[in-house]
Amino acid sequence: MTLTDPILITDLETLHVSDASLILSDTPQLSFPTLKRLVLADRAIIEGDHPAYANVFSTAAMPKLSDLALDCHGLRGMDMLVPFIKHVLPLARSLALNRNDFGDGDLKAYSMIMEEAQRSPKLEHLSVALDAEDLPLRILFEDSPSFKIESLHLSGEELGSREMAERLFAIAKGEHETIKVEKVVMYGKSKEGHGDDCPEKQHEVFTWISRGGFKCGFLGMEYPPFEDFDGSFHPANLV
Amino acid sequence: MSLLSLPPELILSTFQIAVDTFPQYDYRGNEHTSNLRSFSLVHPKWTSLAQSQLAQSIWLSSRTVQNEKTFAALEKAPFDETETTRLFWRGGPANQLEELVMMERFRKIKYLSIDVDVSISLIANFPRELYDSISFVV
Repeated sequence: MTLTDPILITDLETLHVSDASLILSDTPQLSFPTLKRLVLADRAIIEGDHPAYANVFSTAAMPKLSDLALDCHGLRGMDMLVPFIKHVLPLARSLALNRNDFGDGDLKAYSMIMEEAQRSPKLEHLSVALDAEDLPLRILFEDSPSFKIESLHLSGEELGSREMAERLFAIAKGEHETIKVEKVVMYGKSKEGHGDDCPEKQHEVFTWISRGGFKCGFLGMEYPPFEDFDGSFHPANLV
Repeated sequence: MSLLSLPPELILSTFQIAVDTFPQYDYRGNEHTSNLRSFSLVHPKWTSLAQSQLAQSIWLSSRTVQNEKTFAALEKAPFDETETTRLFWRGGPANQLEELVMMERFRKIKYLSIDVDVSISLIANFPRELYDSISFVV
């Protein structure tokens, strides 16, 4: 057998698609040997059928792809979600979820992502930066999730909800029945500023990070990394 | 220790805290470049450090590449020498992105941010190596 189609090889390490479509066409002979990170922001979508997904998002074509950052708004709908969940999610070692403007169908999309993520043997690090009331609580704890990962990254603001705080304390102490996380990492400047109902000493069960500068955001509220999330953090940022 | 006697690594870290490397809301990178330009004027010791950060990222749109002078400048710009590794493609048609890719001006791009509909096969054209007509004999 002789193959004469060109093989295209790129040295990209990160591909960030924002509010646009990544169209999977002419896919049989593509190779992304150094691509490590895929970011889908805003309403970004991937258009392609199962065979195209299988050609592009495979360990052969993308052997190093391990970091996913997702705003699931564009992935709503079964025709978008199902191939993504089947072919892309299993490659992820780290998964960052982000959404600022919660809309119809977002919860379903995030829930489906989480349902599959908890089954993924590769997933080690999870970041949930969802600025919508109760959404992190619901996608993390609805449907009796069960997962075992190295680190879970959240905004310290999540401790403002008593229900969320109690569950996170249980996870951080290793007392949660089904969610096992080695390290719960909270982002915020001050341990004292979050969850005033909770005893101060309880905050010590978390690892606290503040990245400073523009990353502190409006009113000093900090959220975990999205675009550059891989589960690591700089020791200098420890609070 | 004065501000000006800080080691270069620490100054670079300060720049990276003050200036977002992957600005999601700074659509055309105006804030990013403006801040780094200002830093480069603080003191001669800061100039090359800030300029090295400036050179790492480039923002392009249809407006920039449709301008003949700008496009001509892009064709001559030594992106390889300046270590430009991040390309932000903003709002331009994908065929213009293809022209730029084919210009092979961006051999060292490691980070590509796009907000236009684009085919994965075009992304794969980000050059380096194009193996034509490789034959496999089984």
